[in-house]
Amino acid sequence: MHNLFKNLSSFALVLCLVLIFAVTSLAKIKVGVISSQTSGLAILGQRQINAAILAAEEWNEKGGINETKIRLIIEDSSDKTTTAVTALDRVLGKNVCAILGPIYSFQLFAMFPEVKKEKIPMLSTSGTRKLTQMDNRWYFRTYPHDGITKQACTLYAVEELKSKRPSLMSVTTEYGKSGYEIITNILKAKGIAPVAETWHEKADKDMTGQLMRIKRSDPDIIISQAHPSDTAIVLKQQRDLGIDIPHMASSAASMPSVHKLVGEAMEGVYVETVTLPNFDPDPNIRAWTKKYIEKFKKKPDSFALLYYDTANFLFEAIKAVGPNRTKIRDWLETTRYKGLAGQYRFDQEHNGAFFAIIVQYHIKDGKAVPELKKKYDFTPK
Amino acid sequence: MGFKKKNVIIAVIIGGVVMILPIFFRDSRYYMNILNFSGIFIVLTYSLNLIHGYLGLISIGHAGFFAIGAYVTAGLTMGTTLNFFPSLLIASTAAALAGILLGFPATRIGGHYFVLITLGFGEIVRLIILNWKEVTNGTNGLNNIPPPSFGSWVFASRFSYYYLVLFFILVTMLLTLSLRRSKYGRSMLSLKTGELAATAMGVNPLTTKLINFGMAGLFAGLAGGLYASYIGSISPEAFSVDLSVEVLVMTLVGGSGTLLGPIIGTTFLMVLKEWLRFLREYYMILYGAGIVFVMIFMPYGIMGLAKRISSQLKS
Repeated sequence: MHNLFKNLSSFALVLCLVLIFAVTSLAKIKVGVISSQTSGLAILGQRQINAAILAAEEWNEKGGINETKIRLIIEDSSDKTTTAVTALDRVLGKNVCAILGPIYSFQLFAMFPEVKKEKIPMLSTSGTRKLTQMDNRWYFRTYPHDGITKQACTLYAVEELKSKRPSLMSVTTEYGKSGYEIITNILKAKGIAPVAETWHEKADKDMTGQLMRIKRSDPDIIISQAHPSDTAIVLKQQRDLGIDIPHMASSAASMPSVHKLVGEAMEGVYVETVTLPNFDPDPNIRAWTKKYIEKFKKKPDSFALLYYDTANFLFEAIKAVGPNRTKIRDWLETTRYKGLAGQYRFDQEHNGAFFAIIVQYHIKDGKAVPELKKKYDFTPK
Repeated sequence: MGFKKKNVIIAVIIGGVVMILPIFFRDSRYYMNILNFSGIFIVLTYSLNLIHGYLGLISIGHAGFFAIGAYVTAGLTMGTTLNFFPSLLIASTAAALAGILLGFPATRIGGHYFVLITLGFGEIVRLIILNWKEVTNGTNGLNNIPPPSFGSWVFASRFSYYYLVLFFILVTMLLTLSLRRSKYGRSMLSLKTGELAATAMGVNPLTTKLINFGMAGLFAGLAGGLYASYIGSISPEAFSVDLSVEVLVMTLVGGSGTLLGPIIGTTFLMVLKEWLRFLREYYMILYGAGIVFVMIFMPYGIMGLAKRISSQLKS
């Protein structure tokens, strides 16, 4: 009799545990998060995951979405296509209603066939132009593509700095070539022709030839498109050669590693970027940055801030239409959302972020500190 | 020269298991995906197994052959009216030709210098696909690659793709086995043990090495074509030196120069990697430590250990 009671009570306990587990796992809205947690790409990826965790926790603290808690299914996409595709499988296997995807286009391209087949909304903060030109109605980009930031830097040079004789320095990679095309088209529309155009290789270590050619053409500004290491060389050598005109650099110049290389020559440099959460004067962004640093002991970057906005945008969609994949997609396509970094509204191609900022760096106590000069918002009306 | 009855029985049992295996995982996209990726990488590992296991040379440029196979298959199926199978044949032939080209320096250079040549080859191929935008679409790569089809039959599901990959693993195994039993296979092994002695005995190092590299290129091209049509999207990032090193590790862990080594090494490492996923950022440490452990305590790979245990049991 004692044994029977013991067996029954053990059975009841196990049953209770199973029921609790079943209830808790069922009563959650599952959202997939795929980003790089390992490899060299984790520098960006982990910050994005942190941002998604922060957003989900904030919602859960308020009771979740329509009284149902959010559960993030986080998977590592590492730096490989195969790992990313397997991560997608693992996430899809957990029956998620939407996915916050990785930043890297080569992983996203490989995921697209399954995303389309599974009809699952995927949002990510990738800037590669081509991603939204693949006729994939399930993918949403929540980061401004190159066309937006280049538009901002050209307009600032022409309208705010009153440039009439701009000169262009471009790197020969795809990034530099597409940037060059966008800038020259905008200048042409404004009736301005560049007085000098130079090209360099990404790995070039000396830009004296290009800079001297620019100096001879007597421009009133240099607009450069380059990657981190060549940006540093261009900025440093411009100062060394005494070319005392404003410089509008591409977003690589907002990286702390570039500032270390450039040193004092960062003084006065204008840079086009999307957002700078660690320096933005907006009190909401400042509060968010503080919270992020306190929780994760790391400084957020622009991708993290936009990922946070993206997660919140997605949670709003689930709140409005429930965890239904098709309804979420339709809601995202037609709804405008005001996030911390800016406004989001998807166009026909599913580009959702159309804002950029121009900052000017000043050297304070030996460090390059940005000053916000202008915010641009090209969100379609 | 015939097959031993015991080996035939073992082969039939293994064959039956691999035929039935996916039926249990049919509804799991995740497990089917791991099986398919493992299958593709098994074909690629067979390629390196030829160079390392039969000639004793190390290649860390195998991603180059793999990329040629992937890009040529993708380009032909997307840009022409050619079906997957003839495209795969052309792609494998292209990779085989690249292998033969790489085989020429192998006749004169060995050791570390040859490793550097293979590294250079892999990087050259990667840089070409990265910069030849008009053909390869540069960093954006080739996307929407159609799945393989045979008449009206399309290998669209992971379940059906498994059997396609299985077919090519079988082809690769049989070709390796035939080579091993042929005059050229024996010549390769003799070159591995002592090139001077083998040459003195009448082995032609040039022909033998070119056949070896040609076949290795063919296998790697085959794997590349399968990969491109399976994943549906390829870009230069997938063909870095990391991939070549991973394949080399798979070859060594399985047991280089053996028939089953590539299958065991590849499957073991693919499963191990997935199994250690829960460790997140720490998994690479454990994964690396595991490989070091295998290399120290099993210098001839898992197959070497199995042989040792089997001979000890017999004695």
